[in-house]
Formats: sequence, structure tokens, C-alpha cells
Amino acid sequence: MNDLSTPPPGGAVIHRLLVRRFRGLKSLVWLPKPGLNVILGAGDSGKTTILDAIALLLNPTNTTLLSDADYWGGRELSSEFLIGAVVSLPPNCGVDSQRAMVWPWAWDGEDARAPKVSEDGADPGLQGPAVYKICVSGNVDLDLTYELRCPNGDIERFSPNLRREIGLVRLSGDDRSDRDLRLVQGSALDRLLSDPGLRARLGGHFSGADLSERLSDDGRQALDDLDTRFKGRALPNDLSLGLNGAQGQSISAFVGLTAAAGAGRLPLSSWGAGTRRLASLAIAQAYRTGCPITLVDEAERGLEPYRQRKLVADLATSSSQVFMTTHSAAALSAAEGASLWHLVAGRITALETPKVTRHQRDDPETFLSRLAIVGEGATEVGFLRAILSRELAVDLLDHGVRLCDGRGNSFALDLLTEMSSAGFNVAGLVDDEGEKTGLWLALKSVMGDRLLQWVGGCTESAVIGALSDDQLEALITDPEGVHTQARLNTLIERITHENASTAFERRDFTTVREAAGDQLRRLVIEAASASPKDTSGEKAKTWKRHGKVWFKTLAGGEELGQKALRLGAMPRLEARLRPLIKAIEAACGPAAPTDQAPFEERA
Amino acid sequence: MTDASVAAALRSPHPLVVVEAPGGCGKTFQGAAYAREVCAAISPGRLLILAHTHAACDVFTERTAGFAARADVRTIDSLANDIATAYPPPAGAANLDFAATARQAALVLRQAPFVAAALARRYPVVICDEHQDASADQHALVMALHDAGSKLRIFGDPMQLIYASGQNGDLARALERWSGLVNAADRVEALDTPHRWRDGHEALGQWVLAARQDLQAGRPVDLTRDRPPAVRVVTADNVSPINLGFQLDAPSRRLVAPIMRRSGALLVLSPHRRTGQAVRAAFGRTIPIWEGHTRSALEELVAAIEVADGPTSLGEAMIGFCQAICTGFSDSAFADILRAEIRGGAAVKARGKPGLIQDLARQIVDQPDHRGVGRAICALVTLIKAEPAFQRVHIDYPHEFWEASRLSEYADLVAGRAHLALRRRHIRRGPPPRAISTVHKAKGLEFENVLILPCDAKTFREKDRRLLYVALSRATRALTLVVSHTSPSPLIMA
Repeated sequence: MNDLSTPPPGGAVIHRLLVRRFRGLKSLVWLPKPGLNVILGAGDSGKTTILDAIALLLNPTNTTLLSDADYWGGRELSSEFLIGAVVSLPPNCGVDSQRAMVWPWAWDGEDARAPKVSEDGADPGLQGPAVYKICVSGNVDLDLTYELRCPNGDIERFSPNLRREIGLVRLSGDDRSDRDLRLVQGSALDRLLSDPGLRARLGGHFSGADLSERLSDDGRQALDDLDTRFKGRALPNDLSLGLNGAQGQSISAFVGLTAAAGAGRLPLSSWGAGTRRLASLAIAQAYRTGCPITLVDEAERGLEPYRQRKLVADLATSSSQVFMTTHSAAALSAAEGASLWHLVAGRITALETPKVTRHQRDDPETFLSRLAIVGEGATEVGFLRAILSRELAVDLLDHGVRLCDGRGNSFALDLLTEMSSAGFNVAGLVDDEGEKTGLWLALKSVMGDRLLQWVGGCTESAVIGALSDDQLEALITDPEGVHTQARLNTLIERITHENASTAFERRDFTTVREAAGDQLRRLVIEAASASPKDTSGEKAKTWKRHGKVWFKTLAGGEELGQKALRLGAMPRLEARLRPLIKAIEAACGPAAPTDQAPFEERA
Repeated sequence: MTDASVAAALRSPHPLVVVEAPGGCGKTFQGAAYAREVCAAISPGRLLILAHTHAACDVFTERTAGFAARADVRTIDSLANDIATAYPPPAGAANLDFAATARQAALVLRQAPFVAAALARRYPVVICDEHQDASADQHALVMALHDAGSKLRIFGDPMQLIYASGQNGDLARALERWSGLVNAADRVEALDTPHRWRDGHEALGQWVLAARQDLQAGRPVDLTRDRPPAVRVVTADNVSPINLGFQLDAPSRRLVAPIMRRSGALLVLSPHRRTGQAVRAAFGRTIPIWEGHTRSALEELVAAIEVADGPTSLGEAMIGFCQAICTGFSDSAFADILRAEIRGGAAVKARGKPGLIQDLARQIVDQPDHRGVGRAICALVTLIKAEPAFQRVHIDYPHEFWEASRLSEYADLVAGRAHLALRRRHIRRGPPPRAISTVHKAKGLEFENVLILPCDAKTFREKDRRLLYVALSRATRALTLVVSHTSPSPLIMA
């Protein structure tokens, strides 16, 4: 038989999560992956609500108090909410030892279902481990019901004990999250110590302590007077002072870890937020398999980038299933091998192409910005930066716009496709290399004005094609004075290649223009776009590097953009560029008032 | 000595231990002691004790009292039912009988191994009681748990493997299963100390075990020598001219009657139901018949009603039922008149005894389904009690008769039968202190005095070795066999 019968090593894994009418989520179905799941999304998109939902579902105690706000739209709109999950459980978690048998379901890759068993033979559609259906629902009276649902329709209690055994550790965004460092029922520390009689013994110990010895004489006298008064009124007497637990909070909740600090000791809960979070995680991982389902809200909280990277790298390699949100580039970049998810408008979508998810390591901000504008290469990024900083009245960074390098036509296509289907705000500027035309067309139909693909050419050819002949010298001239001669040299090399007899007494622009004649613009475009033309071997390789001295760098792209503006190319590019700029403007939020005149007037 | 080695084998780490356990040799004692030890240490998971009867479950539940949270004691049928209900066949699990339920459960564990794995994690140790009685599917279910990692501790006695007649093929396969199990076991032990026979009755116990060995080895039981005083032999022939009937001539009757009348608990055993009824009649119907926990005639009645297509076939179903569990409801005196009345639609007014029978027929004619049949049976009870014309009809199986009469109360026949079975299981009536029983229904019972009759060439044939052993081993103080010299059983040398 295959390995269906044995649960996977490690901890519990949520294979399917259903959240219905809980807080801001009206209805969400999600099939998370084992290992580290990073949930990305704008603020208020519901990332924390997903973590809260999982936390409530696996809450180790029954003490949660619900409020109106836990119901989608309030209880006027939703009389109940439901959080359900299909989970595989570790073999030692005790689900098999409940008072009544809890029958497992089969996992078919999408959902739990009863295996089809018949005389005709085994069910072919089963995949993966045996799973259980767990859920928690809140009703109109603010009561919570925890259930385990069996294939036969039976409903068993999903007991706090079982929830505790499955294990949950939460590093919440809440600054007061020192619960796991205390002996609170169901906390990581409580689970780790696994001493069921401890709380009772501590209680006995504390209640036996006579604190009245510490009273001043006056205080002592006041207590004695009260005692006399009590006796007179037949109230319980022989009064003293001791430690008293409060309603809903036992004394042992005040027992927590302490650690050496200088000469004395301090409660661990008095350390900084980051340290507390790392300590909570370490405690949770020390228990049994050390694979509790782990929720990390705002991974960066309280941690310097190096500690963020350490935390996330640990989470990415742990055997636990982890659900993490972050706004930090350092944290996201360290989430190697993680599953990335984007939550927008109550819908959660995977970023799945391996190349795209690797992009998270190199340019994590792509996924953390309000709007990611993908340029095909450095030229497009630089070009857009120059154009947009002139065209948009706002600072791109202030508006959460990230310009990112698509690193080539094919990868830019993957990145844009994946991100746009995952609901990210993306725009793109790309060349037309005559490849994957169908895919680009399809993407264009989805992205509309947010995607500009130059027709039959590239940014260089478009801009240079829009210049008048007398502007070519200015185009070639590097304002920094560094690349001008190198650019001329690439032109000379190309002219010599086409006509070996051409002699260059001087290697200046005038000589080059004379030698090139009416072919100058073509040659500039070819050199700037690094066309290998008909060359081969070493020569082709050299020619492909020609672009570097022209505009195929970030600075070069920016130079090209500034020249397009300054040398009057824009009016002829207007029809193509304007829709993209408008779309970007719209995506940045409300249009900022601009006092810039349109291109034509300025030209 | 072997008590110790059985105890050691049970506690060994071996995954599969089989203990051959003749009746009365301390199987329950050993099993329960082991069960308590397992319960005290088991974590995680629970102990599962699988028995075949609710009576056996009761015994184990009582002996593991205090460990209810760590042990599940249940019939293998109920476990199979849980599995088949959790994972029903495509057509649903609602109307599966025990056999189909076990079949489905075995299929589930084979085809969805994760279910077996979950059960094996729940039950790291499984004790099986009377496993020789497990059907092929029940056995497959248990072995699937073993394959998934449960430790098995199997008690059983192939010499107590007796099935109802007509199932000889099943019997051969069951014996094969048992020897396959013994071959597969990591350790096989046998209990051989007759604990049941204490306080001066040890000789009977030793003799029963020796007889078991003889029967198992293909030899006859020799009553001519080494027979302790507790084993008595009466020589008398069954002179009944009727097949499966029973009748003694006057001298023989005088030999047997005092044994019947002797005070104290007494179990009278006959191999056949029909013979038992005749024995009861032959001794003045003073001893009731032990009806056991199954209702074969009722099952047949229900099956016949299910396929019946009108009053005539319903009438036949009722007549078959009445003739099985009564004596005296003969064709000539009652059944033929009933048939005729049902055929004629009870249309022509009759008087006297035919009129009374016509009343029965009218129940079925007016409501030609199980409710009509139930009413007719109900009415028959009243007639038998009150009407002189019916005084020669005797109800030998009153509980079964009562249950059949209750069928009229259920709108749905299948639900009715299930409810009656549940009620019976719940009440779980034990045998009366003096009872007549078939050997099959006496399995698991023990009585101070046991009388087996008739023991002749017809009742104990060569292939009835295990049947004879089960009969012999019911007695704890005294055993009497009524043997025939003119038509001797090949299993008995007297």
C-alpha cells in the first residue's frame, strides 16, 4: 500500500480553510500548503483575520469571549459565523483516542471526502494523508461550538484537550503577547511543562502564604478591628491577607518565565517585543514534536532586519505549517521556498511559478508595494522613472509605487501574468520581441492600459524613432561625458562591418554622420538596442554588449527618458504612453492635481 | 504450567498471539487479567475487546470495571456496523444485515488503509474472544487491524466451531481460517487447566478435557472406562417414528424421568430444535425451552413476508412460522383450513373452530402485509389460551411468538425487526434455571446438571464431533448421556 495510511511527519497541516461571515471575511475558501505560507495583501485586506480565524479554531481553551465585531457586518447581518478546516493530524495528537471514534476522511487534493469503497475495487482518486474536518461556529448568542465532523454525519466534540494537543503558537502583532511565556491554561509554557497538577499545587502554595505579616502596625490594627467587626456580625473571621485569584484569571496566570538580567532576575515578559516573540516560538517548538501550527502576524515586529531574517529562515525550514504576514522586505526575502499568497477583496490566490516566487528573494518590495510597475529591463525602469517623476505630481515612493526590473521579456511576462491573476496592482512596460505573442495579447486583454508593449520594437527604437535627425547628436552625447566616445565607437564598428572600405580619419560625430549618411538613425537604433544583426560568434557577443554603453542600464534608461522629454520625442509617443501613465496615475489613488502642461504645449 | 506460559505469551511483544482456549479453562480470567494490565499502562489509545455475544461483552465489561475510559468492550458486529456506517456502500448502510455489514467493513479496511491505521492507533491492543466464531469478513477485519499495527491477542477454540446445519462449506472454511491463523501467529499457546470444575468436581473437568482430546483426535469418547461418578450413562432408545421426534418406551422413561425431576439447575440438550420440542412434550412440558438470543423462525417469517405477493403467500409465511415454534399447529387440524379461508377471502361466514380460524384469516385478508400477519399471530395467542379447540397447540418459543405478534405495531417491517432485535439485545434475558435447549443455543452456557439426549447415530454423526464436545462441556457438576445401543453414535463408545 502507499503511504496514505501513515500521517506525514511533523505537525498538523491545514489543507483547506473555510471562513464564513467572520469579521471582515464574508466567505473565503483557501487551500494552503504545508510549510511556510506567507500571506501578502494591502492593509485591511483581512490577513490578520485569517490568522485570527485559525487561532480561534485551534484555541486551546474555551474562554474566548466573542463580540459583535466578530460577525461579518455585525450580528444584525450575520447571525452566525463558521470557521472550518480540513486537517491532517500528527499520529500522537490523540484524535484517535477520543471517547468516540473519530473517523478520518480521505483527501482528494481539493477537499475531504468519504472514500468510495465497493466490491469493484479501490478508490483511485485518493491522494495524500487521512484528514479530519474540524470547525468552530459562533451563534447569535455569542456562543462558540467546536466540532469534529465524521463521514457518517456524526459530530463529535472538538475538545480543548485535542486542540491543545494539535498545538498552536501565535506570535501576534499585539504588543501584549506574552501569553505563551506565562502559565496560562493552554499556553506554550503550560503545554511544555505538561504538569496537570501544577496549577492546583501552586494555588495551594499561594493561598497558604500569609501576607499580613508584612503589614505596618497601623495596617495590622485596622485588620484586627475589621476582624472584631466581622465576628460581631457573624461573618467569616480570623482575617488575614493572602493571594487571591480574580474572576477568570487564576493566580498561576501570574506565574511566568524569568531570566537572569544583570545581577537580578526579570520576567521574560518585560523584554522587548521581538525577544518575547522569539522566546514564545522557542517554547512552543520545544514541546513534543515541536510542530504546532504557527501563526506569525507581522513577522518584522520588534526585530532588526538580521533577526527578521533569522526568524523567517527558521520558520521556512521548520516542520510546522506556518501562516505569516509581513510588510518587511527583509522578512519576505528570507522566506525561501515559502508559498506566497495574495489576499485581496476576500479572495486568496497563490503565486506559484517558481521563477516568480524566487523574485521575492531578489526584489521583495515588488510584492509589498501598492503598485508594482514592471519594466522589461533596466532601460524601461530608468525610462519610466524619468517619465513618471515628470508626469506624476507625486513622489512614487510616497505612493507605494515600486518600479521593478522584469529581467527580460520572458520573465516579465511570467511576473506580470502571475501577479495580475493574483490580484496585485501591477503595470508594465515591455518590448515586442515577436515572441509569445499570444500570451502577451491575452495579458494585454486583462491588464488593459496598465500594460504597454511597444509594437514591433523596443523602448530605444520607439524613442529614437520619435526624434528628428538633428537631435541624434544630442542623443548620442552622454551628459556625464563618459559614454559618448564609446557610443561612437559602436557605430563605427557597425559601419565598418557593413562597408569595410569606410575609413575614419577622426572618430567624432561629424565623421560618423558622414559615413553613415541616411543610415545613421537605423545604426543608432541597432547599436542602442544591441542588435547582433548578422554577426556570429565572438563578434555577436560583443555587439550584444553594445547596449550597455547606450541605455541598457538604469542610468542609461533614465538618460533616455530625460532625453525623450527634452529632445521633443514625447508628442510622437503621446498616443502610446499616455494611457499607461493615466492608468498608473489612477492606480496610485486619487489623481493628484498637476500643473504640468501636456507634452505638445511644452514642446 | 501452561497458565503461566499463556500469561507470558499475552504480555510478550509479539504482534500476534493465539491462545487455544477450551471452555472452562480460565480464558476469561486470563483475558481479563491481561486486559486490566493493558488498561493500566496504555497511552495513547485504548484497549479493544471484541466478543461475539453481548453476554460475553458483559462479562469483560464487568471484569475491566474501572477502566471504562481506557477500554472498549464490544461485539465484532457492532464494530463492523460502525465502520460500515461511517463508510457506507454506494447504496447506503441503512438496510445491511450483519453479514453485509461485516463485508462492507472488511472492504473499507482493505481499500482505505488509512481507516485501518486510524483504528490501529486508537486500539494498539485488540483482544478477540471466541474467535473461532468469526466469519471470513470478521476475521479479515481483525487481521486488517493487525496489518495496520494493532497487537492481537486471540482466544478461541476450534472444537467449539459449530454452525447451523446446512453450512458445512462455511464450517470447512472456518476451520481452514483457524489453522491459517495458528500458522501465522508469532506464538501459539493452549489453556489446559480445567478451572471451571472446582470444589470436588475436578474429575469431571479432567474427563471433559480428555473427551475433548479424543474427539479432536478423531477417536470416540469412551464411556466404558475411566469414567468419574459425575458422568452417568443411561441406555435408552428414541422410539419416535417421526423424524427428529422423541419418544421413550415406558421402562426407559422411568430411567430418565427422575433425572429430569431432580432439583437444581438442569440443562437438557438435544442437537435439534424439533427434537427439543418433542423432548419437552415427552416430559409434560414442565421445562421451558431456552430461546437464546437469536430468532431464526422470526427471521424466516420476515424474509418470507418481504417476498410475499398477497394474502396467500403471507398465510404460508405465518403457517411456516407457527409450525416451527409451536407443536400441534398441524396442517390437518389448522393450517389447511387457514389456507382455504385466506384463498376464499374469508367470505363465507363460518362458525365454531373454522370460524375462529376464519378470524385469523381475515386479519391477513383485510391487511395483506406484515401488520396483518402480526395481528393474526396475536389473535392466535389469545385463541390458544382461551379456546378448547386450540388446546392441543403449544407454544414452545413464547418470546419469539410474542415478538412476531408485535410486528403489527410497526409501519415498516425492516425497522420493526431491527427494533425488536435491539430490544431483545437490551433486555438480554438469561436462561431459566431449568431449560431445554439446542446445543447451538447452549454455547457459552454452563449448568450444574446437564442431560444430553438422545445420543444416537442420527443425532451425533461422525461430523458432529465439535457439537458433542460443546454439549459435554456445559456441565459443571454432573453429566448424563442417554445413549442408544441399537443405533449407537460413532462418537460414543458405551
